[in-house]
Amino acid sequence: MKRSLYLCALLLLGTLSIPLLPLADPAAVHPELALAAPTLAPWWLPRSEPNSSQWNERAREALFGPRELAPLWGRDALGRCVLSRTLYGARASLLVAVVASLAALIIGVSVGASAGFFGGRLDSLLMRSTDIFGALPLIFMVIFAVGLLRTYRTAHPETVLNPNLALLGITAAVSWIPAARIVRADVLRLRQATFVEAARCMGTRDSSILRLHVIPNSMPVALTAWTLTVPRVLMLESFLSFLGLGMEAPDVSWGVLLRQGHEALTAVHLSWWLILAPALALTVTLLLLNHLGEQVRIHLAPRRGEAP
Amino acid sequence: MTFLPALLTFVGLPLLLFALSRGRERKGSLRAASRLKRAAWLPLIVLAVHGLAFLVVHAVPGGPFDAERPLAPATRAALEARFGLNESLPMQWCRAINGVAQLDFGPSLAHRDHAVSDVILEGLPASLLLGVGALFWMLALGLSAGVIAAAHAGGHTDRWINLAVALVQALPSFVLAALLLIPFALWWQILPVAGLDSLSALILPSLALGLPFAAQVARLVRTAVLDALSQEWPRTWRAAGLDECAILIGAMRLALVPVTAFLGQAAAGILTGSLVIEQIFAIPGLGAHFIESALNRDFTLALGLVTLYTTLAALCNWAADLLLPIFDPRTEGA
Repeated sequence: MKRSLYLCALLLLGTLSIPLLPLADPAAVHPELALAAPTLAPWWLPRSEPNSSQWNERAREALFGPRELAPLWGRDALGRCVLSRTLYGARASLLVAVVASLAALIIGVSVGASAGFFGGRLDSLLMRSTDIFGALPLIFMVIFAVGLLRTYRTAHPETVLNPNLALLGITAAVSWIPAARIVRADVLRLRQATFVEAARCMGTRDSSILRLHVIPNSMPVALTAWTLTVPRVLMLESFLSFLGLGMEAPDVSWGVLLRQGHEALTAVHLSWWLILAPALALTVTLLLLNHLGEQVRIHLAPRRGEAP
Repeated sequence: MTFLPALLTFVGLPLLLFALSRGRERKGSLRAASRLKRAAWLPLIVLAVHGLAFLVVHAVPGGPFDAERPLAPATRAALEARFGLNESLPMQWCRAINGVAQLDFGPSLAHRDHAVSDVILEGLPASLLLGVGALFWMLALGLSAGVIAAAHAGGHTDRWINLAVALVQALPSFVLAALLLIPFALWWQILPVAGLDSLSALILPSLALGLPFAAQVARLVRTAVLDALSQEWPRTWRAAGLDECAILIGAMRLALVPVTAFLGQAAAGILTGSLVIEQIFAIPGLGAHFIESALNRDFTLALGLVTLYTTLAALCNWAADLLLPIFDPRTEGA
């Protein structure tokens, strides 16, 4: 439990510190070096001049001097450094995973907690609609909606609709169901607790009891639901990006890189490094997150209301 | 009446099935009653999904004929009249579900001169073949790996299988496809890279699609077999002189219960995964059409395919529910 928690914290910290690392510019194009194979020969390259004087550029300069890592993991079809693209892709992928799963958690906790706490007709209404929502293969609707949004944006470039924000919203909108179920089961148990009864005796309003006593106490269970949601959202995002329906250029995510890697994979020129970098990154992250979810679940097992 | 087929399918059929299920319930045949009740939900699910997709299509502004170069108003009006887009929304929806009831999704907007049902019929065999192949790998590999792991529980074999299962479960199918493609199709070139011309071309895509589910099946089977072996009947069987092989087969029969319950979910997952796998291996199935239609604003084709995919997923779920009582009589009528 602790070990995987530390590893995940390390992953997150590493992702946050990527702008400080001496990496090549992920968007710098070198057509003459297209599809260069991985090499360890020059470890460092002189830095092409920093294009801004932002704080991270200055910190990087102070830490590592005017040099950048050579493309140790090869270059892609446009000669961009695969290593730095993969690392910058981690930022997008993990950001979407964390933010979208948090949004999903908020929806799930609100639905589950109010259904469990107020019970009665509201409960059956909310949970029946959750059942119906969960029974539909929503992924097809998601692809459909994202595709339509995209074409709308290409036809109307002046729109304020941010595609990456839309991606966040849509992934959150389809991932809240397990959280709602788990939290509801826990709230059903908490509702009977003595401290809720005491609060009620003191004349506290229902909404305040829910806000001050019930929801904080169901946080451990919500946390479990969250750790289970993050890898799913990560998978969904890379799935959509792989289909060309997710992140849009210039943003890169692992799904986008996997797609480009697949496109570069031909028998004539077997550039395996292109696909292997994001594939490895995604697999290791998913393994780690799955492991963490499992550990958290086991850790909180006595409090677990319902198996997800 | 023009809307008779829709009324019959989406109102008459469920009502009839519900009524039949009531009758069976009164006669005390719970199994038949629950089967009928589940069947009655199928048309309603199709209706709900179609309605939702229809709303999504029309909620997003812009039409199928919005090209870079605006059309002449007369041309536009003629096109809209041809495809029935000039009517009111409820009327269009009624027409659409009336078509769905007759398995006719109207003309495709992007593939001119082709009906949506033609496009679907053309792509369906390849997609179905891929799905069946994936199901085959899922059951063959999952069952055998699970039973072998359970038979060697705690040993080295078990540990290796568990490791492989955890690894494969974390791999999305498109990563798995790459890992299979690079050695088998590109380095050694023993299997085709793309297409679906021969049966050997089916091996890699169906394997990539089925393996993650095989891992899940292996997990389920391992737990169920271990659970069965810890019961008391294996001791009796052993005392009666039956060999371990027979006991394992008996335990495997019990392990089929969770696997059957998982089938519905797996089928939905395989349908989803087939979208990427078809794209990677250039299989001429429905997946490419679906994504293309969503990007092309080919309303009718996208609507038809969403409805088809959802119906297939719901049907698989229903079939899995039907199979469940065969392996586990206790779930009858549940």
